[in-house]
Amino acid sequence: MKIGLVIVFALVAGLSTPVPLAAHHTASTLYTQKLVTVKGVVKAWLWSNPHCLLTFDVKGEDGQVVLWRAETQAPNTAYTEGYRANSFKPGD
Amino acid sequence: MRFSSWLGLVGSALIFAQTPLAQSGSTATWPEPVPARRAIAEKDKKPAPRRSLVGMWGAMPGNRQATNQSSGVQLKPNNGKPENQLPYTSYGLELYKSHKPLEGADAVPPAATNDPRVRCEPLGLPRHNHYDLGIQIFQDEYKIAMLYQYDNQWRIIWTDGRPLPKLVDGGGVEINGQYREPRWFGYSVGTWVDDYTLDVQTVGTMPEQRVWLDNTGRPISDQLRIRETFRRLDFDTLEWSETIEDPKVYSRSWQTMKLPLMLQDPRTDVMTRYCSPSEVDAYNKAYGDPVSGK
Repeated sequence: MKIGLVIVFALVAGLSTPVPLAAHHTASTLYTQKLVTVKGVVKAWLWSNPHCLLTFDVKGEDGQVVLWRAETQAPNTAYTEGYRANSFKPGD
Repeated sequence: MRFSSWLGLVGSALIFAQTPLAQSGSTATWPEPVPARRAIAEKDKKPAPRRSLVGMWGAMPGNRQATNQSSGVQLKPNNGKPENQLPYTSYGLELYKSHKPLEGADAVPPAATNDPRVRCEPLGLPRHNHYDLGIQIFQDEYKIAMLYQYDNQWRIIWTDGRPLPKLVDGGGVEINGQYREPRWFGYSVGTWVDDYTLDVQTVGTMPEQRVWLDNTGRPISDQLRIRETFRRLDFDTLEWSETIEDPKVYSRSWQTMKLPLMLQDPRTDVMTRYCSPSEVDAYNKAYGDPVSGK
């Protein structure tokens, strides 16, 4: 498994996590203060409204690969944080 | 009512003629698509032009959240605090409780929302004033046109002295004795109070089944009256105030915003934000539905 990327978002939400996670406009609801750093391999980068999504595989200590999706703001806000439509590509 | 239609009617020369930020062809470039001018030093401030709102207006430096208003209107965020409770009528409270917003004190998971915005319905007025602002203003001797960044919508404010239409019970307005239908942006007329202050009134907006006041599900009805004041504080600063009166929904009028905006680089080819049903579907399929347990 290739590990080539360190992703740091103000909010990272994992589909595999057992707790409920807010989605659309999450910045106003849950986990606004929680910073999570995850290393993984990019599967897809959706530069789109209403919010951008980064999909990536994360290999755990037990060797299992877990699919994660991280939500950012809309492109016009993500742009001001330095993200671009080509910031990630599959395999990164 | 998309941007492109409007641009066919209004030449961009209007704005270039009145803003010193415009550049000659030899220095033409593509500025950043999200305008963010820095603060202007006191010594560099200039007086406002007379009776002009022309320009591209955006957030003050470091205050982008104020133009987003995603957690409720600027002066009354929906955060559960007592000072931000609204003077609902019983009907207004019933309406509010029927709304399932994605944001605010009563937010629900994405799959449970009934926010019209998520279906890409037009926000209408005044909700367009309360979400993801960035506006471009053009004007001529008859009217002011406001182009909203979110979903590329536009609105006309008539400044040629015509009267405000009469609001009709049940929605819509009466003009010259004839009934006119409710509209997403209503019917707006503006009057210059002085050389730097425009007072705008709007009636005839869409009924409560079609529109919300803000992202947090606050309601409005077809009896809404909107009063806006645009004050040009100096060349680079516009203050935009709004008060609403809606006796069906609120027991008294109240102020929603008093928002300072900064003049931005008029050359900006702004990054737009369309609401695309297929993009919303893709988002919900990948993220919104799973986190809702759907």
